[in-house]
Parts: sequence; structure tokens; C-alpha cells
Amino acid sequence: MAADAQEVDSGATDSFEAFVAARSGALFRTAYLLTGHRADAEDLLQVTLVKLYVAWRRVQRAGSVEAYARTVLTHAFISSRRPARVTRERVVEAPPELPVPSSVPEDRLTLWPQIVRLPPRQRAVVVLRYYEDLSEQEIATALGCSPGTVKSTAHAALRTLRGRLEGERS
Amino acid sequence: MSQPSKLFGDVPQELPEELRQELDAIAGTLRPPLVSLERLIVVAERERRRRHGLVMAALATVVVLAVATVPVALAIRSGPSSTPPAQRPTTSPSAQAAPDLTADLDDDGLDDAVAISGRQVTVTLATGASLVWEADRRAPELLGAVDLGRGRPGLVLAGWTESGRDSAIVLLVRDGALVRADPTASVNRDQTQTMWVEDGVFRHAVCLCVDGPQDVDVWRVELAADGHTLKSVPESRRCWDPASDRDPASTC
Repeated sequence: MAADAQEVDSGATDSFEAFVAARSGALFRTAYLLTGHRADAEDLLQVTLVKLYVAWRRVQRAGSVEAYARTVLTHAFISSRRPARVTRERVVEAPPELPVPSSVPEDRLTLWPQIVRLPPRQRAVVVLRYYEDLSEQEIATALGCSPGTVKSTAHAALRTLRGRLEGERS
Repeated sequence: MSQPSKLFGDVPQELPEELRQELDAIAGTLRPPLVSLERLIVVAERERRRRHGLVMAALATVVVLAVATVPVALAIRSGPSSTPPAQRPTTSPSAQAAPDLTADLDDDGLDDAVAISGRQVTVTLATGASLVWEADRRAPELLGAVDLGRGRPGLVLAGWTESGRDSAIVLLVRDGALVRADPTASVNRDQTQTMWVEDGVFRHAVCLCVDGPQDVDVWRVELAADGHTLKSVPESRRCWDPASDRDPASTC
């Protein structure tokens, strides 16, 4: 019996390891686009993978590991940005730098500085819609809201981006 | 109410394309970190133990409360009293025993009696007529009598689908028979995580749940105009913790 349990555990770990090898890169990229900061993205990825590991058997039985991982990632990101009664404050000497990856010329990034200033939910919708190419229904599932809310959030985000771009250009 | 096409009227068409290109450009330059599985598993096991500890603490609290409550309950029961024991809901083997629920299900202004025995649901109308409906799988659980909109009564039970998931069963008294209303896709779809009867209204919440309290969409179930098909009407958003036994309450 104990040997059986060990075998099951080892099988679950193997399949989890395979998932991490195949998908952690993509999850990290999404995490980076959400947080805009490499260290925060690494933290977010770890939180997501830990939650996934703890619930791995249940998630596998449910059948949609990818969707579950995306949901956990998005929720963890939004929760981390939510004002809490107790927050971990990070003391820094200078204001946080704008997270522009060095290998992309800054003049090519007109929208990115504005995207990182969007509220968390709007930013999540923008990333899931325009980077992950998810449908409104899939985003609604990931965010735990209705497709109508996704639509209005996306609209608000695009309107904000447009307004800021026009403000910069004028 | 605003039309979606109008909502998007003031957003330039090229913006989404620019967004796609820019996000792809940034993502393309990133070098993902190497994930140390050993370290991850150590952290995950610690998290699992922490949760296990919380569950055990909750169980211990329940046990302590039960131990403290039972002697009090026994003392109350065995106390000097000539009054008969209070009537309580039962799972009676027949409709003749105390009903599990009384409610006006045929809309004649008189209460009818509902009893569940195994897979069989029996409604004894105030006229004395017995109507029976039988679940094809396991015994359903009675959730309550509800108003399915415009004063149309119904009986809500939780049953099980072939895959073993919770499934809503809504029974109606119609044309002298107890029939099951056609469920909507949204009542039974996989994302439905919880359903409940509250203030005579049947509600369910939809989410793909993760751990901890979260906002969920709450839907009210009504009978469509055909009088036989159920429809879900979006009602509100509420806060729900999938780990708790409580129904969704106010927002998070």
C-alpha cells in the first residue's frame, strides 16, 4: 500500500516536472508582462507553481492544467496588488525604474510605459487578450468575472492607453 | 443599456495590433529563470503542511465544540418534561411519515408535503394525491422550495451527473405530475461551483476557483417563458471561499 502511494506520488511529481519544463517559460513571460518587473515575475511564477504543485492531483483530474495555472497566476498577481491591512513593504533607495528590457530599443516601446501604469485588472485583461490571445470567455474564467466585465475592462484599458498616448504626443 | 459596438467606438483600430506587437517584442527578449524543482517542492511541501495544520486545527475546534455541546443537549433532552419531542425534518421512508418539507408546490394556496426516500421524491398534495419522481442515480439532497419567477413554485434538489458532479434538479408540479424542469447549460456547466437556496430563491455561483476568498458571479435561476426550461439570470457578484461550507456572501 505504502509502495503504491509512493508510486503515485512519484508519478505525480514526474508529470508536474514535465509541466514545469514545458510551460514555466511561458508562464514567466506572462508574469513579467503582468508585473513589469523581473524579480516580481519570478516571485509570481514561484507562487503559481507552488499552488499548482499542492493541488496537482486535483488539477490533473479536472483536466485543464493550463487554464488552472493561468487562473492562479492572474489571481495571485491581482491579490498581490490589492491593498491589504498587512503589507510587505519594500524599501528602495530610488523610485522603481521603468521596466524596459534592455534588448528592446526604447523608442520601439511607446505603449509599454503606459501599460505598466494600468490598474492590475485592466493590465491583466490587456495581457491575456493581446499577448495570450485568449477569448473574452477564457479571460472571464481566469479572472472569475463575466465576459461583459472583461469587455468593459478591456475598453477602459484601451481608452486610458489611447488618452495617455495622445497626451504624450501632443 | 449601452451596446458593445458603441462601447468600442472611440478606440482606434490600430491600438490592439500595436499592443500585440509590443507585448510580443518584450516577451521575446526575456530569458526565463531556471526553476529548481527540488526547491519548489520543498516550499510546496511546507505550504501543504501549513494547510494541513490549519485543517487539523479546525477539526480539533469542531471536536471540542461537539464534546462540549453533547452533554448539554442530552441534559435538555432528558429533563423533566411531558411535552412530546419537537418535530424535526427527517429523511422518512414514506410520505406518511413526517415530511422533509412543506410548501405550496401546485400554487393552490395550500401546503403540500415533500418526502425523500432513497432516490424517490414524493409530493403529497393538499388534496391527498401523491406525485412521485425518481432520480436515475444516487439519492438527491433536498435544498428547498423556491419561487422560479412570477410566483411559479418549484422544488430544488442537488443530484449527481454521470461524472459524479453536483447537478441541480428542479422539480415542478405540472398537469398533475411531478416533472423535472429542463436545466440550462449554465446551471450544470463545469464551472458551477456551488448552488444554494436563499430567501426562497435558487442561486448558483460560477467560477474557476482557486484557493482563498474570491469574487464570484452569482446567478438567479428562473423558469423561462415556456414554463419548462430553466434560465440563469446574472444577479450580483459575491465573495466566496471554496474551502468553507458557507454560501457566497458579500463582496470580498
